[in-house]
Amino acid sequence: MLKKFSHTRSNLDNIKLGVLTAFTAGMVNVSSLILFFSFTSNVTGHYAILAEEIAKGKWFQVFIVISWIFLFFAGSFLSNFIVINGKNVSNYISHSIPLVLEMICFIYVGIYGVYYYQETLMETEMLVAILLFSMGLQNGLTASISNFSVKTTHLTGLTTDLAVHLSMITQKEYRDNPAIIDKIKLLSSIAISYLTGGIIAGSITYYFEFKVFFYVSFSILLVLFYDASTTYLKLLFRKKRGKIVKK
Amino acid sequence: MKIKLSFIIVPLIIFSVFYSIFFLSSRLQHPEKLLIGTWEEVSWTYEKADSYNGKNHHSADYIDEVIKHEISKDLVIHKSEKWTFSGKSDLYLHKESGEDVHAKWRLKGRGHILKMLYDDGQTIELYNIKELTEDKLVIHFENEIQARGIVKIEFKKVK
Repeated sequence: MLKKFSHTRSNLDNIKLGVLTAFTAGMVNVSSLILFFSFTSNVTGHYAILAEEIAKGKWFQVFIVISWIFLFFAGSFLSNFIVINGKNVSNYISHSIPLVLEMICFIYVGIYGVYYYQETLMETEMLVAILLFSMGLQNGLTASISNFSVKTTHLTGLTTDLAVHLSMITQKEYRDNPAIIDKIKLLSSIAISYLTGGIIAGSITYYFEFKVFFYVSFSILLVLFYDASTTYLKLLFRKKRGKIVKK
Repeated sequence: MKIKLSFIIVPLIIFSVFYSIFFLSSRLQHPEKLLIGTWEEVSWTYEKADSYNGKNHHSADYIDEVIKHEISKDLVIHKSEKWTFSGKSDLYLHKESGEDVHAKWRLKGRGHILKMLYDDGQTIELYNIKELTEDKLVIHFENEIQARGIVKIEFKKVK
């Protein structure tokens, strides 16, 4: 799911990565909407808000929204920066670092929210900024390693792509093209997963409040553990088996 | 060498952008500070209503006392003419009868949502802050009783 890069990835690798990370994005977005009254997984809305606040001359809000957009940008930038600079070390390690950073962000927001949050505006803005940074990290990573096939927080583009591909299969020549069918499977599974994450978060956030972010980090841990188990555990078993055969 | 240079330049750029954003935002008026003080209701109007008294209204209309009473009967802000926001998140709603209602106030989102939590710990009211200056406050809330649409309450600062 994580260790393969760009064109070496299969559609199944992209679906697995897309489903798990879109689920996380859906949960984070709905939880932050309930807790902070602000979206954190999409920046299209923030651009519209930025334009509105500039037009109204609300400069405090303008700077807040600019910093949020910049944080999302910085997250995506850092993700790809780590991926392209860590290619020579190990794909798994360089692709995991953004997810580990994302998990740290969620755990921080969870701990801060449970033990220290006084609901001041400054705290709200900072926590929203951290979540936007984490979503930038995630979106940057998935887009980067999948050659821009998987974008888990970008539902506007995803809905457009899904509509375009679905309209294509109204003609037989496209219906027989496996690449188009694969793309439809990928896009629809990401959309369903994002929605599922959102529904679950919407149902449990009122009860668990900030503890939701611990569950979100657990789903990121699943992504990391899945790849570690298919890479390093297999190697470990092979080595052990090799030793037994030699004996 | 190129990689090492980018490892220095990139964090420097990120740090300087952050520093400039926070330096500039600290020089601007914070919504929480602007809100502190006593605000007096100036008017209640409603906007975007589809039908009112059998007529279609596309522009804002003033709400008379009877309709205001009907709209706000389920809200704690009902019949409060002055709202006092303190720096310690306390909000006092001064009613016509002289009685005060206490609540905790918080700003959410980018400072555009006013959340009020009343002393029973259960009642929460949320208002959209549409305008907040040193002497003017405009808040909106959605309403579906009588005048279906968005109710707009305008205040002027008195203290």
